[in-house]
Amino acid sequence: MENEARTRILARARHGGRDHSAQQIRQLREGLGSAPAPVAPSDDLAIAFMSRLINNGASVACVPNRSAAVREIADFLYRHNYDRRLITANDPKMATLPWRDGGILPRFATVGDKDPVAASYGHLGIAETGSVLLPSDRGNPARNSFLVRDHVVLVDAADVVANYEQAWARIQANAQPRGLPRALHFISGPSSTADIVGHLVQGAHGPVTWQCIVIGQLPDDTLERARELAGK
Amino acid sequence: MQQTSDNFIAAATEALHNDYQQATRDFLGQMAPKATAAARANFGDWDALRAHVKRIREHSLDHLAYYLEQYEAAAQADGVQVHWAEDADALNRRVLEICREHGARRVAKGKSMVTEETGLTPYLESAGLTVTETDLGEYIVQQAGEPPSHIVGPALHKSVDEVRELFLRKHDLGERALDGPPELVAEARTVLRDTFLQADVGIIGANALIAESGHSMLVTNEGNGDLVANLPAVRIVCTTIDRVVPRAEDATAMLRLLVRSATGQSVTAYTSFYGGSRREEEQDGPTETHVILLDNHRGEMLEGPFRDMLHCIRCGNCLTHCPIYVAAGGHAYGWVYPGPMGSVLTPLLTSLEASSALPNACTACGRCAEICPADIPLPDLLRDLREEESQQRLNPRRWRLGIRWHARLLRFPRLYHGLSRIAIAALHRLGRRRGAFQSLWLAEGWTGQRDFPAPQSSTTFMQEYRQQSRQSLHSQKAQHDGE
Ligand code: SF4
Repeated sequence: MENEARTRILARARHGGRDHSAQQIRQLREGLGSAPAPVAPSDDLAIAFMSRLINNGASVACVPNRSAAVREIADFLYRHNYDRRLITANDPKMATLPWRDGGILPRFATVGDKDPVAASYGHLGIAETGSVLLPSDRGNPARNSFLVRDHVVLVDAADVVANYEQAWARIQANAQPRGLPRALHFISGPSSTADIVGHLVQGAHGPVTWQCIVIGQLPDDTLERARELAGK
Repeated sequence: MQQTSDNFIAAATEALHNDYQQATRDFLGQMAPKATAAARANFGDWDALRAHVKRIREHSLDHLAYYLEQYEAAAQADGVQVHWAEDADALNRRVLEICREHGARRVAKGKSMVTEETGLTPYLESAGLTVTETDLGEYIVQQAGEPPSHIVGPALHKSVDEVRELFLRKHDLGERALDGPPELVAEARTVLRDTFLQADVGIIGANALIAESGHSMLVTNEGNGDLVANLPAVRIVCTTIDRVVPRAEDATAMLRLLVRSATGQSVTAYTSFYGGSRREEEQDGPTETHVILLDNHRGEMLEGPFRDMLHCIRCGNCLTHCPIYVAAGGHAYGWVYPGPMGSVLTPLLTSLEASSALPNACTACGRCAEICPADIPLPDLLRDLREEESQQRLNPRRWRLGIRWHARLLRFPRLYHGLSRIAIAALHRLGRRRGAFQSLWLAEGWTGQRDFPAPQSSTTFMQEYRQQSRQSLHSQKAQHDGE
């Protein structure tokens, strides 16, 4: 039954389309080129990235190294009244962070139904939108990104690319022999909704607070300039 | 969903008498266009983006069979079970079969217009399953037993008081204030947590399908879609064949158009790309994944004059730019898709007979075509549907007679101009004193709502035009002779 449906649907699709070989189709697509990207708020990728994050409702910190990143996480936990226990996924980059510098006790696991906070390590950042990529793998259970109330995400400034086109090129270059990860999550801020009378509320079903910590040797005023650009 | 599109005029009249909803829609009709216009302006070369995506979609539709097969092969290689459904019934049946194979009782749903189109939720409920909509707007209208009124904001017609009363009635949580949107959102968050955690099957839609990788793109702000996609053991993606694009970058090019046109944002909180099931080394994710590709008349549209409608990215921008939608509201359209896009899609996906009022719900102002990110000539498509209506004799007999007589008259231009001159002169003379008519024979439809302005002179446009042309020729000649 379903096979017949497939045959009929594809027959209609073929009838309503053009008759080209696979190679011709690939060439035709190639000829269409790439999409124009939006005007960047700054030529500096880190500033553009952080200003977009701020516009998206994320809280942003900028630190020079991994030790400072751990202290920033500790500060986040303190500000949100959590103790020093933190769930992070089993990511090699997470496992090798100097956790003792912030007095944090990490548990490399997937969050349970009631765990309120988790930390993850983003594979890349996109300046165009202020998004961080968290692909499905051992290091990024989806529950840690979506089920918690507060989510802290680290990303290396060196991993920030300008736009989606560059992001896809990087993702494809890093693909394993079995292909792309089975899920790719681009997260750009806390969850939100305007479904009740158009009133924007931060914190719908996903995290209410979303903190991004950008790690890299950047000029001291980088975050300030990003804030200025974002008008906040 | 029971279709009531033939009741458009009565439902629109009723909507116009609901002061609160009218005010809400007026506000939406003012604010949404401003937000989306600002987002377009901030983008940069918007027209170039629109043209690029249009070329990509056209190319995808031109080679739809090729890309669908490519998508199917890539998705299957990643462990996705791909199904094909020719109509709404086939999709609903397939979903139910999958649920039954797993002994599922609880189903969590993300926002999906396709499953609204097929009536999946009532279908599964009638089979004894508990189905919960998890997008906040969809959840509200599901609890209220109403259809969505807007494709992006399904519950925007409801006031804070209405949502508060609904939650107090539906959630057994004792006395509480629920003062405003933040409290109501927080309560929905708490209540729906168990739905995500306990669901046996998660159903989501797709904004695009990527042929080269076998992924489907899901664009959301609330995070419910991703919880539904990841937490239950079985994931079912319900989508349509026209969503396929060649590459991932084509999907993100479309995404640039979509978010700016839907909400005025430059990006939503979550953009996810979903392929197959959990891999060995992973700690969560579904253990079985399905994608159902629905045709439901799209194949026919591909071959006919309404092919452009397959470019629609469901942003909802034409709704809030349409004076008819803003006046009549989404429910008046009587089916899943309201506004200009709904007035084209509903007759094509159901029947022109059952929705013959919709192509006429248009002032031909052209705003929808101007702002449509997919560059769909909506007013032209509506006009074509009206023509079909006339051919199928679905519009009132007196309209057809009127049009026929008008067409006959146009074949005799001298007679037409002569009669126009007489009519204009008479109207000018009769209405000269008041400047307008409060009632007029054969134009009661107009004068029932507003005055009909009397012509300001006794000559027709063509008379004036000819006279002015003669005068300007004359003065040119005089100037020439003088030189
Ligand atoms: S017709 Fe155009 S404006 Fe309307 S929903 Fe579709 S893409 Fe958006």
